[in-house]
Amino acid sequence: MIQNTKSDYQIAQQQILDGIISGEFDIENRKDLGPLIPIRLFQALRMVALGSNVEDILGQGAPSLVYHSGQSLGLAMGQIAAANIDKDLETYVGKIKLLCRQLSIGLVVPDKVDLSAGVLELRVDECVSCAGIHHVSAPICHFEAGMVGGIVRSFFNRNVKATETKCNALGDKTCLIRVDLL
Amino acid sequence: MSSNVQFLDPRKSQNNEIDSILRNLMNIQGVSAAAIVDSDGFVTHIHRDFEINTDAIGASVQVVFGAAAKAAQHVGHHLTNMVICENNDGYILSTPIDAGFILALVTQREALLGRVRFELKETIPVLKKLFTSYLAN
Amino acid sequence: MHWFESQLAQLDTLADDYLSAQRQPAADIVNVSEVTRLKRAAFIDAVQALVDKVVKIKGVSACAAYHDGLILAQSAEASNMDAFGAIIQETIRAAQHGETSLDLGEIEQIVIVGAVNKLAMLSVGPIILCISSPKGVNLASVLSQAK
Repeated sequence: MIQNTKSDYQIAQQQILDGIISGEFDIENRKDLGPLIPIRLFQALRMVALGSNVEDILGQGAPSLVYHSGQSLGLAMGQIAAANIDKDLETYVGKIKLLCRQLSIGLVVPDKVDLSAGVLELRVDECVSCAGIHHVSAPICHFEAGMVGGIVRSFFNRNVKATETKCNALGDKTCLIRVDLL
Repeated sequence: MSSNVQFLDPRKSQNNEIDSILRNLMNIQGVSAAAIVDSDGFVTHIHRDFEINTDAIGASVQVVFGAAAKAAQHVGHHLTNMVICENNDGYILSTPIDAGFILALVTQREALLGRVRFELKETIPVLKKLFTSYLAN
Repeated sequence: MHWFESQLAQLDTLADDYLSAQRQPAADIVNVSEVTRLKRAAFIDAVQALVDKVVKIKGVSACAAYHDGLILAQSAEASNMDAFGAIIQETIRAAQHGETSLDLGEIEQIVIVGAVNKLAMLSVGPIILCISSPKGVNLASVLSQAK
């Protein structure tokens, strides 16, 4: 008998990622409501369930958990985008932009790519997490920072540190994520 | 949630001393890893004598410390100075430095807990000052 | 000054050196940090060396040093080291009540004598040195005569 060592969350995660990889966004059991949800529901999950509620329990550990979660998604997205492109950065970025648009994560735009200095800066316009949120005191898109970090790491196969340096919720009109290749 | 914007410039002189401090901690009997973790769970400095998934340990250290600190607040213990995780095969000790940075030590079972804890307690005030001048300049 | 007293005096000096290093102004934190670290290492190494020497003295059955009730240096692996730590904490705390109420001054030594064994606790800087022996052994004598 084969022993199933995956947790239920891991099983669900696999199915979600498989769905993303397939590029097929229709979903079963949503005949009337369809595959899309209001952005406020996503934001409730992101900023409440994976934000203030996690912060209530983990305190200063919350951003790191959120960053780590985003990084896991970014690594998975990177694997999808890196398939059959022969390590071509432009193609990779193109596929990532498309994927982020399809998933309504945001409009990803490379702002600065300085590989000799090991620094990349990517803009996330219309960021799904912080659109319509204002008056925060510090960048809040740790998930997107982790995701971008995971995407970059996946391509270069190097450790990276991604930091959100501008955030729409701070009044910056966009989210800017700086990635340092280590 | 706090900002995650804290760059650590490896060229700064404080960095050498931080490395020396970690190396010194590694010289304590039974200590197998000494790391500094930033507020995002990213390992900024590490000395270790075995392979570690730095991403995972960094995030876990922040999460465990954060949860312990929250639990302390819930029972009116205010600030958390150290979290000691006693495991089958050793200890993980974590202490806050400054601006969300945490110093974490991994030890084998044979480590003398008082020795490690004493060294941590004495090291933290110096690290706090180093980080203050490091992040300010 | 006999051997053990001179060893304790040396430890006290090293502990004082360390405390002085800690009190240095932090203007040059990098250098202060290094000096403090070296002074601390000198003190702890001396504590470990003394523990190693004391346990070899005939009549001494165990020796260890503790900080806040947790073991800092020991002569060899022993099963009751954690119990020693707990006793030390309890005893020191109780004795500290007498510091002011009985006008004892800062606690320097505590000796507990049982029907079988006895335990001496000596305060040295931030640590407590702990020596145990069978009840019949004159600890002061064996420690003073050691070299």
